[in-house]
Amino acid sequence: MKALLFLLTLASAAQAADDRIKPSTRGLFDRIIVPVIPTPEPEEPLPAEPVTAPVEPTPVPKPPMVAHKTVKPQANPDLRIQYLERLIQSVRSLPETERMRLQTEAEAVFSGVCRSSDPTLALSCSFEAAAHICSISPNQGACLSMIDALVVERLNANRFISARERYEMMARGEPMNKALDYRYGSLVAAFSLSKAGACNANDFHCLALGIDDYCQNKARQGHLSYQSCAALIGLFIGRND
Amino acid sequence: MIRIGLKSLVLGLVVAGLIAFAGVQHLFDIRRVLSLQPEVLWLIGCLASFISLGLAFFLRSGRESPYHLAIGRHEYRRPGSLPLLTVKGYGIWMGVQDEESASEFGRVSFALISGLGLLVFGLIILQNRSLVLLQHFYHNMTKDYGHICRKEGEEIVVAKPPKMGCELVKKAFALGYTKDLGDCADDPADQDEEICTHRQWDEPAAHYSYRLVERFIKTLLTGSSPLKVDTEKLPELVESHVQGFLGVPRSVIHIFTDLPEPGSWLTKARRRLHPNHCQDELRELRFRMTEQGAEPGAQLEDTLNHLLFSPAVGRNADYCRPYIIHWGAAANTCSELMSKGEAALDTYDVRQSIDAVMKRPKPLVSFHCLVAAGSAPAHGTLSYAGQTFKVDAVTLPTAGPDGIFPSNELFAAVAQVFVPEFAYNNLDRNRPLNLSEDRFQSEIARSGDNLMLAKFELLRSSDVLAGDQWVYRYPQYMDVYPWQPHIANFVSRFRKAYRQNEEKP
Repeated sequence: MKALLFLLTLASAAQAADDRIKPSTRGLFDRIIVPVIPTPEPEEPLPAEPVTAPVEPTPVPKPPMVAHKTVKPQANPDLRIQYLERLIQSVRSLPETERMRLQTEAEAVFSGVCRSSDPTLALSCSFEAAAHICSISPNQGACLSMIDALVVERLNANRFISARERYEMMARGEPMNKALDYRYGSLVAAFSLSKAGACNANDFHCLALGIDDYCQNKARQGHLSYQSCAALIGLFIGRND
Repeated sequence: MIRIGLKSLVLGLVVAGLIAFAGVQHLFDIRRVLSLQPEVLWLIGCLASFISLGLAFFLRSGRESPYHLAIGRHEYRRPGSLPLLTVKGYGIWMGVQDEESASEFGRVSFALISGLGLLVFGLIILQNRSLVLLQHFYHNMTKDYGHICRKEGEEIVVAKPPKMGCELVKKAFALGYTKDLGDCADDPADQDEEICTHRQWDEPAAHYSYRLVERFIKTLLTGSSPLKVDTEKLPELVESHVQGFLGVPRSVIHIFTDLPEPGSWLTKARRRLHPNHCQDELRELRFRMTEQGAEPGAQLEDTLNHLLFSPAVGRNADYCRPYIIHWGAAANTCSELMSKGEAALDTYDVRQSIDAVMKRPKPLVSFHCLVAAGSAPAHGTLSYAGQTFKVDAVTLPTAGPDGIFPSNELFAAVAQVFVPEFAYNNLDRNRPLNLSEDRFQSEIARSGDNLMLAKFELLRSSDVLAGDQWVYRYPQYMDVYPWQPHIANFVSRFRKAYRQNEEKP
């Protein structure tokens, strides 16, 4: 597992560093590192309804916006670990086209309808948007898990690239996604080389336990928030099956 | 008649002299020795070992010295010995080796004593900075310290940067629109051929060094030196440098608290034996909720570490050594310091530390009390040796039934003991819109168990230190609460206010 992730990270770093290297076919790295807008594949046709009208999906009944006096404890350790396990499974279970669609939609959400200088407002908006985006998904549960991680990833992307670096990259016309992939790869490599990441690649429960422990530690050290760490590692591992 | 071999005598005198010098300069102070980096201590040990063995080998420590010093009555002196000092019937003579042997250190003793002397010598000359200087020794010796005069007939074309705005002026001058170039005219000093006093291209480094020293002495003697030596302030300047060399602190800040000292006996012992323990503890500092069962003293120490010393939460971190925490102090310490003044210094055993700091120019001394609930906050001064020092006392917040202080109140109390007017409120938070409890409840109730990570992201907008204490009602969320941005924001504002407060007259 460690060796595989390390190799993947190195490969992603090399690819992010050098634009000239392009795989001739859409291989594993291409799919993971270079998110492109997917072309519909004949063997996995998307449902007709969402393809024709993805921007305005059928209205979904909204949950009541009533303040609850008692809150269901969503964040206790067992539930967190179950959730992370589900996140990896979900990302892995989704077809590549669906993953790409979610990635594109998540980017569109924060650069469009949910763009706000206040992250709380952006988040509230993204909850609504997530429900809309996943209403057309064949696997809504998996879609919500992945879009959750993508929302957190988008909100925290600027913490991985400083304002100066962003400016320089924009001046050079370089895409930021490659630099982000490189940095996320470094995080996952560090996780997989740590004690917490010593798991079999298909042992999702072990991986979820490790991510929870590792990310709590990262948050306590002040390097990264728990949710952004967990989301990034979960997404990366889920995508690299 | 006492006869001592010259090698042993010289070695003994040199080592005794070094030990006496180091003793007078307090270089054997265990705090100073421990303040040296392990690498420096290792270097001193290695050098002392190798050089002492080398000395023992090359000076042939196993053999008797060719000369010896004889001390005793006149009639016992050897014929041919040279008298150095004679008083009545007694004297000191220098003699050559003969059949009667002189006292010498043995082979092992010679190496041990010379090693001891070299260790002391190392302590005198080597500082933490010395390693860096040694690392750059070759570079510093070989780098070009100045211009080198050109060879005869050699033309050196140096591209000078054009003066700002002169291009147009020169063009106007060339076209006849102006008769004067003003500041844009070429410097006449550049045009005249002057005698080059820099290092000649074939001049050895030693000769150039000699010329520089000679020039420096001449300028000193003629009084045209740019270096004005104020003889009145010279002792103060020398003293300041000596204090800096010896590592005497520039400031001492006494913090008194009636809370008991936290930690096991081993931790307490380490604090006393290892003066840099506070720096080590910073490595263990974490951003997290106070754990159940944490001692009140540990909570206070964590807060002090975050606010003052931790480099992880912002710039302007202070060095922790000048801050001395007096655990288990009386609750009325600060009121006594204010009312009794200098007389109270001995009661609390702080006079020595203040006297040490007073040797430095512009010493910084202050007293702060953080006492348990019940006593009133007080702010005053204490006069000592013609200087006035601030005394501030604040009340610690009331701990909850589990012994945990409310974090916002604890941070505010510790901040206000250093900056009494410091306040941290809604306007200071990281994000403009705070997250109310009702909003939080309604947001996390959405989408059932889904979007858990995005819901955690909401907590970034709730700043516990700015008063959003409702977060504590959701203990399961506290495991993932993002402390770092909120603590960092509080700390950066506090440190800015603290610096401004220090600069006040």
